[in-house]
Amino acid sequence: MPDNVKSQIISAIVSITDLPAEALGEHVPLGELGVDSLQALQLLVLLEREYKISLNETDLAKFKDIASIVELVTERLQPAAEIVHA
Amino acid sequence: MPEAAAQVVVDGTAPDTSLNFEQIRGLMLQRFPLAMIDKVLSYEPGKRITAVKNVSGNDIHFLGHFPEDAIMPGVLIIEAMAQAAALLAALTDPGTQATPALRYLGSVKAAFHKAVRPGDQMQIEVAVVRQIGHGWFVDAVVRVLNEVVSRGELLLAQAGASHE
Repeated sequence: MPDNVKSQIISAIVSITDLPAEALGEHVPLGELGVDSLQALQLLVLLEREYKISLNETDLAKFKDIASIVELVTERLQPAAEIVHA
Repeated sequence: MPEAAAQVVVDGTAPDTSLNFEQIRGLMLQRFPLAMIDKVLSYEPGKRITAVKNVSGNDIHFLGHFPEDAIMPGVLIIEAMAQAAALLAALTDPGTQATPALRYLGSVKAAFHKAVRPGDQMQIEVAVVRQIGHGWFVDAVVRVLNEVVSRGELLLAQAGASHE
């Protein structure tokens, strides 16, 4: 699942920034890639729509690099923990 | 009719949030020939706005688009969407002097389904998908006589916030 998520997130960033996919290292800070705050917001909405998840302003602050976004999205895609009644 | 308007609120129905052209002009930066909103029908701060643009054969862009076949330019339909969003931003945070106007387009994705011509009334509906910091992501739908003529997704930014 994470590899699939990673490739989809890279595709999303490529579509927003026009950067070549080869330039998008997993741990390269988005700021170094030239991703600005508006593009980050665009990515947030795109991910929400693609994965039908909900992300907020706090989550946006976690958009440090591709690895952190993959981690965040993967976490949100996990089914809610089963509630065990005593 | 202020008394009638007050009665509407007392009755529990939605209050009148319409704006006329002079009120809109007081909130907008754009002027002729790029003022693309004639009237606001209703709005909810931070959430949605419905506005109207009456398309006239007298509009200056029809001089060139096209001399023998007047069609509303798609870029001006997008401009109408953006101006409706900017109005909503101004109405959402009416501390107008200190609040930077929603002035920059970050990205646009739009589809056009039917030509808009003189005599048409465009009803522009804009809904806020997400507003974080100075960035606004909105969905827009434009209808003429209840038929969808265009849809758009716009990313806009307030002045001073673009590409920071």
